[in-house]
Amino acid sequence: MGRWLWQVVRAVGVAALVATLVVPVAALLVRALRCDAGTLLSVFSERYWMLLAKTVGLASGAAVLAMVLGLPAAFVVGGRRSTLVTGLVVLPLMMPAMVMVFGWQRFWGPYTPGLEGWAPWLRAMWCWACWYWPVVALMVGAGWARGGRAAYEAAVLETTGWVAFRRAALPGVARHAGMAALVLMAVMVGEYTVPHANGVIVLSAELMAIAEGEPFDAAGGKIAVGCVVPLVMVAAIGWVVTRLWGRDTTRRDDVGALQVGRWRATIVVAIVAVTVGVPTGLLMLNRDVPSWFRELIVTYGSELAGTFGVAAATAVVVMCIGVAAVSVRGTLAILLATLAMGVLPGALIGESMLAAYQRIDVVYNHWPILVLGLVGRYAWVGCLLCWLAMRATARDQVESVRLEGATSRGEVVRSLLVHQWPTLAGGAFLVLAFALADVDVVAIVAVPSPRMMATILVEKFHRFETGMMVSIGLTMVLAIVPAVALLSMAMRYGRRRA
Amino acid sequence: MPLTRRRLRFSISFHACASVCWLVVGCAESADQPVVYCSVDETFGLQVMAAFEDATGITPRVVYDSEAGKTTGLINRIRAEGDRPRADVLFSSEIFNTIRLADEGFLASYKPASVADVPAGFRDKQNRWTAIGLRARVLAFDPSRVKREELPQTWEALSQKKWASRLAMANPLFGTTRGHVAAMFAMWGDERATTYLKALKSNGVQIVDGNSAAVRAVIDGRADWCMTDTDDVWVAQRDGANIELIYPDMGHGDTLWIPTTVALIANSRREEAGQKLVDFLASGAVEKLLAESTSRNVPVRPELRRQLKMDISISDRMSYDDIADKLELSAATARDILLK
Repeated sequence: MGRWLWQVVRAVGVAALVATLVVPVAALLVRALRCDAGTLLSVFSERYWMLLAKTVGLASGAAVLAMVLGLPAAFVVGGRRSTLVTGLVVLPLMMPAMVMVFGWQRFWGPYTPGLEGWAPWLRAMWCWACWYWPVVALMVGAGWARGGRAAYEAAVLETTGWVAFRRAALPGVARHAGMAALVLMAVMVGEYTVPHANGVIVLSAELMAIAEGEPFDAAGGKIAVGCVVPLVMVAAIGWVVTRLWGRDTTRRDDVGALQVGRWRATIVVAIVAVTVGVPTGLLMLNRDVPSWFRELIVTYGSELAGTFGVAAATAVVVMCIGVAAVSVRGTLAILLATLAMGVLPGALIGESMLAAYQRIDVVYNHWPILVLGLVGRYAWVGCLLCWLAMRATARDQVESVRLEGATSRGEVVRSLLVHQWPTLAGGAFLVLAFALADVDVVAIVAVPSPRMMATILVEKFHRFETGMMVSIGLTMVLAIVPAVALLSMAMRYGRRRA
Repeated sequence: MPLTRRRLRFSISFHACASVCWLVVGCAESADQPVVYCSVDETFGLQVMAAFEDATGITPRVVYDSEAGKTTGLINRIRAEGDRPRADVLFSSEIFNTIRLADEGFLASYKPASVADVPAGFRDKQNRWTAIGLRARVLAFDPSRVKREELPQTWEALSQKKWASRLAMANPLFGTTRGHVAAMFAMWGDERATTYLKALKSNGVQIVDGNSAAVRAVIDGRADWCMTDTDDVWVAQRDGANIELIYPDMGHGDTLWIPTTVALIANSRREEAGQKLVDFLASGAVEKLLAESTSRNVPVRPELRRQLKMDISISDRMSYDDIADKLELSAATARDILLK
């Protein structure tokens, strides 16, 4: 990367960081301060606590199911290298949640005898688990790779397999499992689409309703206050997890460079087939699908193009933010700030963008506000990936860069990140997929053009328009397949270079 | 020609500048293209806007409502935008919020050329809005589980234990359900309506996300009947759902009929273009289009009803203004009772 281009990327990143984090949060705070305390605290009604309890219950059930699905895959992924397997594991995470829900709704059919009252809950838990199990697989897999497997293989020489696993490997893996559960809880508490599509009202839906239904000044403040409790709760769980299992001091062992065996790969393929293949396949099982696609292109061709444009712009800006974040001081603070923003409900992020840019026509009336909203929500992906990429860099590489004449922090990062471009490209694809599927933020900051396909998809669901629902859903799934393929290729390239 | 560093820089700069120009041009606003805030369902909204485009060659720019906020979300946006409105026209699927908005001064006075045949009860006296195509509040049910003759004939009877315990209704703070609850306050009085809501709550009514979610609850067997709008039933029937409807009485011999409304927003930036669109939206052609769509809105123009063979008489014994006046009180009471 040339110095000139590097400066441009950094400038875009810093500007976007200010525009999507600093300005909206400040604007929201100003609005919140205009309201009296009574208005802000009125969010803590009986209904709020009931919905919070429902949300936590639903998320806990889904987290358990995600563990069941993700753990077998974790032991395949951890320590064994296969870009294909890793790509497959990432696939469900990139799939739009609404599409997964629609597919499963066809599987369950209209009735679940004896379970009418509970069916929506069970469905929502299952859909969340199908969507989020890769988080468990990747995080626990990382723990297994970092030392769990080496400890297990050493211990199994002296005792039985289960005892060896329990005594040597489990302590290392448990911490990662705890952290994975924490991440799942944090993400699910702010997630809106899966419970909504399954007919379950949770806290994020209530916050969305406040965002739409309350007067402009009160809405943002009330949502912000309403988010405090879930955030404190997640932080408390994080603290407990850290206290229980301590800091991770294990180092990645050198015995992890094994190829994934065929039968082990089959486990991952089977889980992906169940969680992604079944719902997608059920959507495709209709002879009218080709005509539905034709209708989609004719009716929503420009919206499709606009949606992809907004998602692509979001992906580029997010990665610029990541690059900027690791090349300035306070990287960890920026990472934490973007992570905190990322777990907030989309309604709050949307409200903060409206508060910040309502008076700037060129932003408020057009696609830039969509990009800003989405960047605000997914900036953490860029920051996290760039931070991880820098942490994965060996000390001798840093020294060698310094010897070559890189004096400032920015120049060191520039020299190192050039070799990490597969990670950056992979991150961009991930953000692209997330942005395509986002409903919460884009519903709040909607503009005349483009209309994002995810919101159209929700509308089709509510209007019982099966044909459009299927064609839009499958289009969004098709869009992520090349993204996953490119991500795998990028990872393969990165490993070869390493 | 070899690719030197200088040429590469020039190329990147050129493309960056070209991209910025393209983006700026892309964000430019045309004075001919009105911006519409539309809470009429997108499927029908698209048909209407396409018809406008065919008739005038102008493509309106439309912001549709979201499922969470429905009309209320768009109305709050208009309020928040204040004297710098983004939209020129409001095309709303209900009337009560439109009346409130007019009273608060957010709507401009403009009499569309096409409304001479609209009955007086469906036009604002100060020409700030015009009402067209009606939808009714209905009770939807699955005929395979419930017989039509078993169902209550009045809305008030629904609060009894045997009905309320198997009833689903949308969040009463949004959409037409909000207006329906306000109508109960306006027509039955505050005390009777409050008692009714308390009875619904204590007898186990299910509150769901929206009208279509209520219909889905009936289809899935989570509820046996639900309060909803006619169009939600028609579209579910089109999709093959086994669902039917009845028109319970509000107490004046008819159910609540809720019209679609058209209004020009005050301080509109593209006033002329907005007026053109309002003329079109308030016309008989659009009423006919909505009546013939899956939404099957009932025209307010009696002559059009006769032409379309819609043999429905609409009671004029309720005042939309009175209902709009009760919106705040009824929403606050419903929030305290049903959403606790």
